[in-house]
Amino acid sequence: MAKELTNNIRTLRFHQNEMTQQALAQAIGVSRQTIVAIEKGKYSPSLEVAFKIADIFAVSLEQVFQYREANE
Amino acid sequence: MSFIHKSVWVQFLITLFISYHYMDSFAYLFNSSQLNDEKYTELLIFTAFQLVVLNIIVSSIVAIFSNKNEIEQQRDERDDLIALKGRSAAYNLLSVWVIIIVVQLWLKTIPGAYYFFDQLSAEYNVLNFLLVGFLIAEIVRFSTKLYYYYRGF
Repeated sequence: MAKELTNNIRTLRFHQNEMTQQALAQAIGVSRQTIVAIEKGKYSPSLEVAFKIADIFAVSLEQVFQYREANE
Repeated sequence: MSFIHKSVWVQFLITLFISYHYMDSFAYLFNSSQLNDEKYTELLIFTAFQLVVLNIIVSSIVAIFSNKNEIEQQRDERDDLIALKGRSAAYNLLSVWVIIIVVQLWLKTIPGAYYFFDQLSAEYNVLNFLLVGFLIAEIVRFSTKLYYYYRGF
């Protein structure tokens, strides 16, 4: 079965005092559109950006991104 | 939509317009039997002028109507990757196009088997094919970028 990359960025932003996509984008150094694309699963970020996101939320990479079976 | 994304739309529409104008003008010259090296040079210069001036004017207008933060936002890795995919598609098309031109030049040696415009000299015929290839490659480049901006990857 095919696997896909999913993420919890929306949830993590919510727990971070409703951090906006713009604030997260500025903290990482990418555009807000890139954050939108990552959240929707339309773009798989580079390792560097992935680690930066995890670092902002002070969690491990596995808590932000998961590689799991795609839902049929 | 980011400023970079808007710029791609602007460049795409300008290239479409210039391509249409170029082919329409060329067809007009051809149909009215006015096509010659001199007229073609005028068309070529005007097309190059349009490419530069229209891009500057329309990009400036888009910048005026965009907010300051959008304009100052640097290209990020996603923009770079999308640009790379666009350039790759355009490069592949241009490679095929150049091969077609080389084959046509070779076919020119076979009587009755070449497709050049008789009204233009051989150099200008090649120039015409190269310019059409360049315009098509630019359209492919921008449309590929727009496709990946919407679809993701």
